[in-house]
Amino acid sequence: MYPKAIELYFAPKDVGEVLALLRQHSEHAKLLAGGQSLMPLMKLRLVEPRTVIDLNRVSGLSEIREDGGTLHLGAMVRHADVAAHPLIQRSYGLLADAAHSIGDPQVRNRGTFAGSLVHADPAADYPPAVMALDGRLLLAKADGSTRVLRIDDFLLGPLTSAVAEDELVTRVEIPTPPPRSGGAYAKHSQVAGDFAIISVTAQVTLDTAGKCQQAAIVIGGVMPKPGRAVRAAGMLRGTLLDDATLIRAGETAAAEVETHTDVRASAEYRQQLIRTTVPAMLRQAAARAGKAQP
Amino acid sequence: MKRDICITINGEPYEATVDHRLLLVDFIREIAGLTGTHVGCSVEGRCGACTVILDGKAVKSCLLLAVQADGAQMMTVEGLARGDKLHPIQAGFWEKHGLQCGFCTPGLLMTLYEFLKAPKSSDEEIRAAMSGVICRCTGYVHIVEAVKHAIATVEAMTPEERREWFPL
Repeated sequence: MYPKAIELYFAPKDVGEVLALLRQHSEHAKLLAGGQSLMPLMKLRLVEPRTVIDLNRVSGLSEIREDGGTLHLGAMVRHADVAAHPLIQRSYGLLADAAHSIGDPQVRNRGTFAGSLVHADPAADYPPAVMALDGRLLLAKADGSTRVLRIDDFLLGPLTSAVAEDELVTRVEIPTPPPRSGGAYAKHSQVAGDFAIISVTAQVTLDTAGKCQQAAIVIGGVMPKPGRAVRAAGMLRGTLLDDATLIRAGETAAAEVETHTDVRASAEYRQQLIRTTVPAMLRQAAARAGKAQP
Repeated sequence: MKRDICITINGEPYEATVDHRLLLVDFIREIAGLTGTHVGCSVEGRCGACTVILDGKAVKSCLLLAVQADGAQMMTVEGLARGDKLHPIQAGFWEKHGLQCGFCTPGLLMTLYEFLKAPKSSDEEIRAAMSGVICRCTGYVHIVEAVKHAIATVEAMTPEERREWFPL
């Protein structure tokens, strides 16, 4: 199986060149990043771009850097780099967890951070992880303008993100969590490395007495995009994250996030997974927060 | 619609004028004539039989366009052995009978080639390392043993030997 004929193929070397190409060709063009989602879609002829703009030779899009209270992730950073980066493992644990649970080693060698977010699969690993960390995306437009979008505004629905035809995501920014923060991510899927039936992301910040100051819980594998369990996260504030509280948070999250039935699982099964996984992820997040720098 | 490209595979440069849509796996099999790289699922990159080493990393060659590999250094299963001498991962499969029908074997060998550059030895880590290749015969048990055999060989190597057996 192979893609429909591609009239034009470009391999630009920098962002300026990409934007110049988008000015000319955006209507029938596709930006090719890691290709681990786009290539299967092209082979199935669900996507038939006349022009392919390959981002793999664009310089300056692969950096991982922390400064001024922000983690900067270039758009072409690969999953394998996110999973293995010491800084990410130390301070953004749930992001490393999410990267590590994507696909398999070959997919993680190619697939890119921003590519996955742009693809916006509601069952993918990064979207809920970036939501839990309140990330934002930097977009560059063909006309030279730029804009910044919060992840919640960027993800619109199943396989739909806010990136315009003539736009390129250049970078993702993640605010550095406060001291005594920790996070965890895990998913349930049918086979290893598959998309999530349900994923749970938890991020917590503790005070010096070990009480929860702040918490975020995001559920992936629901429609039309990952859902925030706002009430469940809210009830954790001021508690010691004891077992009884965590169990109640799981029940609350299962009740407030709407689940659906599809070929992978029933809505009830998804609810049950949320109920049991939320406490486990909160426990792991709290343990990491406890070990983080005071 | 077409582009002139040159891809170095197992040290040998292959030049051709190819359609933009030509998949890398089809370049390897049909233009370079290296049919050791297999096509299994052919659609979504699930089976991993087409895994090759591209600039040092294991990738599924059915999920890349050949034009993307222009100028790249690649290795396929044909590049593993040195003359009559099997690569440590091949020797592991031979000693521990790590295959039955053999269709997925090229993909497994190339995936594990990258793993063996910095191996981890627990069963769980070995199984995770080969989760990107589907084998329908073995149940993976003998493959895990083959990898352990290869790890022992690689760990006993001098740095020079490692460079010789892991050039990419």
